[in-house]
Amino acid sequence: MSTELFFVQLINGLQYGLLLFLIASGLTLVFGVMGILNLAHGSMYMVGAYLVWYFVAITGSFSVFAILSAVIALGLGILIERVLIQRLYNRNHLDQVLLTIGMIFVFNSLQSILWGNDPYGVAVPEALSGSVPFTDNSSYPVYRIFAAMVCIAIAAALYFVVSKTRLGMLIRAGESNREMVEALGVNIKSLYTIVFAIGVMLAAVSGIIAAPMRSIVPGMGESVLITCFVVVVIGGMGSIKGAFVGALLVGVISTFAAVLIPTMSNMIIYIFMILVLLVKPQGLFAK
Amino acid sequence: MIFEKRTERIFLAIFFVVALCIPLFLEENSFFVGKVTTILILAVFVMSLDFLVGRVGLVTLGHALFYGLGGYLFVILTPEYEAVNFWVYAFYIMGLNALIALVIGAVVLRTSGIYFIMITLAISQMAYYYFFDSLEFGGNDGLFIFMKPETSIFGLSFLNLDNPTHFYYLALLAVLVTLLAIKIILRSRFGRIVEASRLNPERTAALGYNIFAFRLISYVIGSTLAAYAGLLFALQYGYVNPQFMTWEMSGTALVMSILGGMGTIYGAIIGTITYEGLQYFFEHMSKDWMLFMGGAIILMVLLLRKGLAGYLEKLLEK
Amino acid sequence: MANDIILETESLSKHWGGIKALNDISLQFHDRQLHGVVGPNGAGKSTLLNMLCGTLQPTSGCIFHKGEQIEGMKPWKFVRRGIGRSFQKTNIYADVTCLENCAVAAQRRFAGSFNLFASRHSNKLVQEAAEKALCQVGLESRIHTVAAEISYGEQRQLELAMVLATDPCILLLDEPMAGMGHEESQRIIALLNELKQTYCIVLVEHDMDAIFELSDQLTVLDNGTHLITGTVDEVRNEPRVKEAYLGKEDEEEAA
Repeated sequence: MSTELFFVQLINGLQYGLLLFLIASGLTLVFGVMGILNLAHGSMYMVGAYLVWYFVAITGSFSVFAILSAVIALGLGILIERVLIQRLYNRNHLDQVLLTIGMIFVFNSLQSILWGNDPYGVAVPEALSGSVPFTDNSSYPVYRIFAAMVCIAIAAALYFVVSKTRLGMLIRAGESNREMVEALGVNIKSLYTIVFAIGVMLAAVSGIIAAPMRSIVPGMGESVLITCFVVVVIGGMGSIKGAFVGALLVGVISTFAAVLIPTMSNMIIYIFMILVLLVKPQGLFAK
Repeated sequence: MIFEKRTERIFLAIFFVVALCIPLFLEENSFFVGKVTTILILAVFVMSLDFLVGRVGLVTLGHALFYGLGGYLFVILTPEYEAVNFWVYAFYIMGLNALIALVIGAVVLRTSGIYFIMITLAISQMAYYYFFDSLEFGGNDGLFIFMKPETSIFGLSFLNLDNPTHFYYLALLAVLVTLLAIKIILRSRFGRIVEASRLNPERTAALGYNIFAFRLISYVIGSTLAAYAGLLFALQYGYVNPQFMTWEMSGTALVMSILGGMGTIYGAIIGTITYEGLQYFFEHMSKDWMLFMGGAIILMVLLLRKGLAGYLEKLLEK
Repeated sequence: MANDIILETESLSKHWGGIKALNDISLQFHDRQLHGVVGPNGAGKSTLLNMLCGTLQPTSGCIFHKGEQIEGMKPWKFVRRGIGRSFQKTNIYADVTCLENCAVAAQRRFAGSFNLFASRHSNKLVQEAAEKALCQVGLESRIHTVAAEISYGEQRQLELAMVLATDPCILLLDEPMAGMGHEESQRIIALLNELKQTYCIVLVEHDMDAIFELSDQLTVLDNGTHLITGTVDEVRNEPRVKEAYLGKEDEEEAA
């Protein structure tokens, strides 16, 4: 493998990993703080992608509607938490599995009804199309660099919120000691709503960012969901730092695997996950 | 004694009576008989999962692996154009599957909780991709079963597996045997410790029991029952493909089990019938059947805290 | 002492990184005696019990049972040897009857736990052993009651019954009277007085009256170190013991 190819794949892997982190962070945040395993998380990713496709298709403008889609997703997250998720807090994990699977059905079906089953694409926005010259004969797409930057920015914002703000303190406290948070006079219900809505938004935003780089098809939510789970387990359930490291590792490994060992590339992340669990049974950064 | 709850006895009595009669009254409608046969086969699969998840306490998302293996092992072991003996090969397949489950179980049972869920998922995904990417096993299209096996015992053959009605009764027999086997095991001395391990693993270990051994044996039993179901399914439709072992298949079985009432075993039958029945009903009503299906599932989770069996028990047990 | 040494530790230590939970503990436990273990919070009492029943591995040192070295063995091997342990935090099977609780405990003594076919009720010996254990602790009236439905004090009794049902020779009891009222405690004290005629009992307790009444030998631990072992009177008059406890009281008063 030439050095050039190596670097291109490395950057591809990191960029894919950053995107995975964005999705996975929402999943692990919700699980860590609320103890809820939201199997419909992948559906939120899908919703983000479809929403932005829809708006671009009717108005042609990406940026404004990217933000609008994110806001809609936030509202959707609040709605879902208030109406459905709230009823799960005293139920066992299997009931959560069942309910969120029901949600997957509903979302997939709504997607089919509202937008149809044909594969769609979102054109890369004008300002971000084109490539940056990389070496003498290759260049790297600007949009991918932009996507990576956005992921890093959001990761930084997440880090800032969780470690430096009051909300972040409540999140960290809520993860380990719910009673303590309530004793602080905080309305735990509102905290949970906010956390869940943030989780949904993270998934949707990654769908929005990914939209110009992927085809938008039915089932895209589920395939990303499984990868997401692997990332979260490798990183340690509930750990955002773990999700970050896990996502980058998974991104780079699967990208290289697709090039080096194509016949085994599908399996590779599972093998990697099993290896990690053999050494660190609770994940890399377990709580 | 095996069926302690009144609701259980009433349901099973009605179920078996109705099930016995269906082919007698609907012999002409072989499509319907075939559909019910599939439901029966799925019920075996779901009961085996309910045993593992609801009673042993092993939440596995990789159960479909063994379901698929049941079919794949048949195609691998049998010659293409020869009708082998069903009983002999079912025995071989279940035996081989038990060995595989023993090896896998010995590895995965070292984890627990969410990590157990993920590792079982990972292994079934790996198997899925292995068969998906393989050329000699037909890749995504899978392989056909051209000759159904024959069913003679000591030269006497009274079941013709090409006959939908005969196949139906074979499936119904499987439901009965699986139900009885699981119930007997749960009531046994072995079952006492298995349940204790689920209710309070720390306590059970402190009493000197080797929990790993109990779980491993249970895992092998549950997986082998699933393989038998998979074998029947493959034989019914005459093919096997990687879709048999997807995580969606495992997930659907889990949904059916929870819907019916996790841990009740007979609830698995209820759940399978309800799920398949609802799907059939919604599919014929509208092309957006998934919307109604999802809505029905959500409603049932919110309203029926202990699944359908739990609801029935609330009505019928005093 | 005329009674045999049935359990012994030699220079037993447990370190967690830099923290020494237990340091160089050498103790001898005699058959048919009650050996109390006391100490301020954090002294290492639970750690000691955890090591004596095998759930925790020592960092260094040895444990001898009837002369044989057993540290490092798996916990179930300890149980097989007759080393039974009750928990400080009630650890029973809440959703089944008291009888079933003790039956699970007793079943291991009689072969057949891997029997997949015979009904769990078919072995009369298991049932009898379970009933006997329940009667020993005074729970005859609760045999068929679901464990979650009995009082807290009765649950502590059930905890004890479960250990007895395993037919142990050594009882490691971790605060069996925790959270009990006076009357209930008296019942347990009477029971323990009776049991120490048959078993070797290691009793960790905060209830000083019970400890002084029951202990044939008393060990005081403080901050992971072995302060003293002797008769109740010897220990009560030892100045270092008063210092250990009073020192702690001063700390608590200052805080």
